[in-house]
Amino acid sequence: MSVIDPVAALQAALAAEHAAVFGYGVAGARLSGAAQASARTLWDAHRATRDRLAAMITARHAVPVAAAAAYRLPVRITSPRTAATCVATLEERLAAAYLGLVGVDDVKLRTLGAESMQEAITRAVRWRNAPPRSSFPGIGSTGLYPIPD
Amino acid sequence: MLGDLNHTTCEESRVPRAVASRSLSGPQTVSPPVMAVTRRAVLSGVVLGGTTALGLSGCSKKRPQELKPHPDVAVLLGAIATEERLIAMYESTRKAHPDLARRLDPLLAHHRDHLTVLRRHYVPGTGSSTTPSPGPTAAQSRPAQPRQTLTGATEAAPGDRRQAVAALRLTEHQAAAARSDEVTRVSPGLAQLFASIGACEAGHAAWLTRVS
Repeated sequence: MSVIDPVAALQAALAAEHAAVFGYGVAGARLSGAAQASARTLWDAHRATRDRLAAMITARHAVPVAAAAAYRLPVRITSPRTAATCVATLEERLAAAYLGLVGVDDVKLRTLGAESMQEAITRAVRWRNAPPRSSFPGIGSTGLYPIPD
Repeated sequence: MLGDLNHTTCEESRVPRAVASRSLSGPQTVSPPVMAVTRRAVLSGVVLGGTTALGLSGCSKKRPQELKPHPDVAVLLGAIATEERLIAMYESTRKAHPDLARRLDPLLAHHRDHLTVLRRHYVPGTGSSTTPSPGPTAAQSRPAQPRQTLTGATEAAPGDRRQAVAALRLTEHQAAAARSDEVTRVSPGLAQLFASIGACEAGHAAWLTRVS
């Protein structure tokens, strides 16, 4: 039996989606052409996911966490390149935020968490135009046990 | 919130190490001498440390041959087999197409990390890939083989670069789908490890669309 509360795990995912929605909004303004179109599509996708998560939390008789007025972005956006790096980092953080859902007892939530992690890392790879940055996306090195060499 | 979850994750990740232990230590096997102790106390380990619980369970009437490996073991063995095949496939592709090595090596390194960590969660002798491990229910006792046949894993890599990369991409995609499916069948900590490996493999599949 898991010790992770499903509502807490959903709230963590929602909080990260709020940050991603904010970040895509800021980054989109710095991008152009196909990259901007992608950012726009993904901004919509993250807003839809945010709303789905909020509805799932409400259905569990809890109050969804609200978005902050502004977020400190992981990368200072000064160019199209830094905008891409910023949203890639937000996607990687999303993967970490969804990890909690994979540890709950509800198998549907676990699947949602696992699939969301795959989608987030796929998007991060495309934004970075580079392979995944870690062998274990979403898990910090201290979370791995036994610890690899 | 995130900090709390990360902490939980860290603790949860410690769970799988025990997956290979036989089902001796479960509360249900605690024998008459501790019957006066409340179930809650036993579960919380206040009265019995893990080691003591294991020791006492030796009083159980169960014979060793009746004990079954945890259902996680079969899934774990399947994941180990997948990683071994992927590593073999990357090595053969790298050999056939040395010019791809620079771009494939980071992915190969990830798979070696996956294999290392997965192997450390498995205690040898608790099940074998040739003998499917029987679990408590039919649904949980899947054979240890990967669910999908991974194409071309042990064969020589295709001579055509594009085909070789496409084969890797397909295999990564299938591996990611298998990990995603398995998260529902294992304990929470192992599920998180599988989800992370699956995310890495999905990322590989995405990256391989840009390698040719």
